[in-house]
Amino acid sequence: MQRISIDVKRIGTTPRQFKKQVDIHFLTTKEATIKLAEESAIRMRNIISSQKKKDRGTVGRLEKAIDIHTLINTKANYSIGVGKIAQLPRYWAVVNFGGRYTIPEIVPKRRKVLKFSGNYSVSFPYLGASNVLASDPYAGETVYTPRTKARPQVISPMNYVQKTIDWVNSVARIHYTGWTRKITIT
Amino acid sequence: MSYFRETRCLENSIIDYLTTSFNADWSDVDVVKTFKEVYSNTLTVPIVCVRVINDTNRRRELGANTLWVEYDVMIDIFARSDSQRLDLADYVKDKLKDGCTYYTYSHASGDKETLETTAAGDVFMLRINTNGRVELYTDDLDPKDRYRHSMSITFRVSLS
Repeated sequence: MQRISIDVKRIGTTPRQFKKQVDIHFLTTKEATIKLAEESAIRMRNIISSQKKKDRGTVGRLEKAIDIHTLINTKANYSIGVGKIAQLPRYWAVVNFGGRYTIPEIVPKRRKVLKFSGNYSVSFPYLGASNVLASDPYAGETVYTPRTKARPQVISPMNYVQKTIDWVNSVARIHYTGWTRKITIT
Repeated sequence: MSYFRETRCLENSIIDYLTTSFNADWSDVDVVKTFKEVYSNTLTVPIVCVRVINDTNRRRELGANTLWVEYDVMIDIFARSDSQRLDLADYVKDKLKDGCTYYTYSHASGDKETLETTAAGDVFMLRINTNGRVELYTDDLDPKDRYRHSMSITFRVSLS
């Protein structure tokens, strides 16, 4: 019987080699998450800039305050946030969600709710006067009296947070499926 | 005749669907599409405001110039109490998850009041992006802003 010798040669790439090639050409998930978060912050700022009613060509406090920050950074989990509520000016919510705001008839000086045209008044009853209770929120305060009559103003919602989340979801669904839940906006 | 385009038709279809549903299952819930209407003196809470805020477009398929459009719809709920806010939010979610009929809208020239509607497909809910209570962080809340809820939902229109 004639002997046949067979040589088995490995050709192509092994799974390990294939993974190395993939790793070279693609961002790691962590890098992709950081990139997506940076893009989200830029997008959020752009939405605010483009929808400003009084665009003076400057970057406002709200846009400046929107930045990315790491929430979780362990071997198994990486989570990154865009915009930290504690660092945002308080009006972020009214600008985002909209609402109706009424300038109060009188505003104690220390509250500094809004800048508006008015006069300081020292004639407001002071704490200790017979007709003023200690529980009166304005007792003893120097107050503004607006020159114009207080009128409620409807503030249209900008929804910059929702628009950014919608964008992240649509982008991530294509490129980073499964990782959208790791990206949280707090 | 003047015909509404797809975004406007989608917005109106959802408003009409929710209005019909609320009329059947609730009482005195108004469905509107602008904040101006919400804060008008003629309406009282509970109010539901439906607005299309954004759309995402990409090519549907090779060899065609049609687009795959996803619409992001904001649903703002202005409730009378916190429990009603939660109930309304769940109700809206339950209704919209099943989708609704997509209508095209048109009106005769010079008569903007009378709308003609024609069923032309379906509205599908793709995903809920955000769903939660609205906290405005202000001391001088308008009574209508006390119990607010906001939902952002993505829809797609399938024409028949």
